[in-house]
Amino acid sequence: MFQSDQHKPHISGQFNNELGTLKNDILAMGGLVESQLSLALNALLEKNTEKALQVIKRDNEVNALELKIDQECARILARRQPAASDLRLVLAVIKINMDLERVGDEAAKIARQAKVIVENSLLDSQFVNLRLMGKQIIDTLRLALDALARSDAQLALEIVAGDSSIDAVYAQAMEVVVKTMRADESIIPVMLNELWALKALERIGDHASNIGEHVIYMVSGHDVRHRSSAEISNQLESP
Amino acid sequence: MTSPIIEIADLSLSYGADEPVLRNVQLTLERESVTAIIGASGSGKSSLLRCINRLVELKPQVRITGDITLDGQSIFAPEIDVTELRQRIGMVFQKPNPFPMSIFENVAYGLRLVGEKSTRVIEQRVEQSLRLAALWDEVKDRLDSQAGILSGGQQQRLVIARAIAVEPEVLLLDEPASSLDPISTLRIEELIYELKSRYTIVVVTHNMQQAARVSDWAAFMHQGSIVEYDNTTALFTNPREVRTEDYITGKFS
Ligand SMILES: Nc1ncnc2c1ncn2[C@@H]1O[C@H](COP(=O)(O)OP(=O)(O)O)[C@@H](O)[C@H]1O
Ligand SMILES: [Mg+2]
Repeated sequence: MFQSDQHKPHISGQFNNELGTLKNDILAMGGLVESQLSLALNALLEKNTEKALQVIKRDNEVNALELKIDQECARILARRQPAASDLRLVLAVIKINMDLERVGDEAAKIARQAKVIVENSLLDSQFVNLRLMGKQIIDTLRLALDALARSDAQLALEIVAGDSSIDAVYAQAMEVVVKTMRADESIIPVMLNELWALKALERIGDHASNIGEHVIYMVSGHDVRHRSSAEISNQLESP
Repeated sequence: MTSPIIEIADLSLSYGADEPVLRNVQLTLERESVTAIIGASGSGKSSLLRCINRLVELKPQVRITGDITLDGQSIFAPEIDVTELRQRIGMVFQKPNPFPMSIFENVAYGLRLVGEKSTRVIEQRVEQSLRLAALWDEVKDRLDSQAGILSGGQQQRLVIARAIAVEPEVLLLDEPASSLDPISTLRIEELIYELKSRYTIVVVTHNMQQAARVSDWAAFMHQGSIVEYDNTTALFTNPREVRTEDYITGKFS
């Protein structure tokens, strides 16, 4: 449940329940996608086909939950005409839901790559960069979901601000990959796989940052998209 | 806010020895825009409207402090002619109250009251007002029928036509659609939208969705005070005050 639930209840208990279900479902979606991502990364790093297949199979669950949440949002908008923080909650959930579904897609892509790597018994690689960046991305996604669960705009802001450091890590990793490929052409096929997986992680980082922006909007009412983090900070401080 | 037409400054009202019904109300109404006043029953919305066109009786026990200005002039100034003031600031009530006379005479009533003698002018103005009130097509063939035969929604539009026939600057609407069915309600809301290019409109409503639909500015009243006043989108997406938030989201407070 969201921290903001310590707030007063609605006079309509039914509406309260609907919003409660929506919050539970978007957090469940977050949990599901987060576990998809860790499993996919493990599949790749451990070259474990079993885990890769599991991720691919569970992508259906992600899609089904996405649809369910979408329908709940549409129903609440049509029947309750929510206002103020209720409206911002529904709007934020609609967008967060989309970002999470995309994270699920990227996780499934990583899993498919893991499968290809194992099946073709491509050259062994330690995926050093991937390991590093993977951990950072999972942490960021987890923090974004924490910010959502706790309605914590400050934490969300830190995630948005941290996105540029993820981009820097990505650029650095790319450089290393290119250098490695130059040095040894025989390693190119496996390095291409690492490269694709890195790209997927970078996109997931962007989605986590989007989720941070949606949480800030949900909590404060400020639309902080397309703003620098310094500007956002100022906006959050002003009433 | 670019061009205020009415400024309410520190207005307080009490009807007698009891608690004041309005407390230090500050409100600036922008020309040619719609301002909605929302709030629970008894919060003082109607009393505020009745102050604006001086419908609040000036009985000895009624106390008004503060000021309301129309185009910069105090409406409480001694030289103000109340009949003329009410021509400039028209009012429509919750229950349609057509006069027991023909449709035509209902709309012509105010014109005759202000001394218009020319039949041609009166006929023109009646047609124009009925058209503006989106009622002309429905009544043009039975202008001599009694107003009472019209439906509730038509009667309310007739009353609005009567109010605009004398070319007011401001229209005060006190829950104008609350006794109407949903379709008639939408017609009134559409009419409000059409009329705001000519008039400044203040609409009191306890239907929050209606306030959100029709207004440019919205004020939330609670126990005689304006708790919050902002542009409608801001008030309905991101209110600044917890009491506003609780009211518009329907929470216990
Ligand atoms: N003419 C009056 N004399 C005495 N008290 C009144 C009069 N009109 C309204 N009141 C009181 O003033 C308060 C505000 O009423 P009103 O302005 O009608 O509120 P609203 O329109 O928001 O329901 C209520 O407590 C009501 O009983
Ligand atoms: Mg009233």
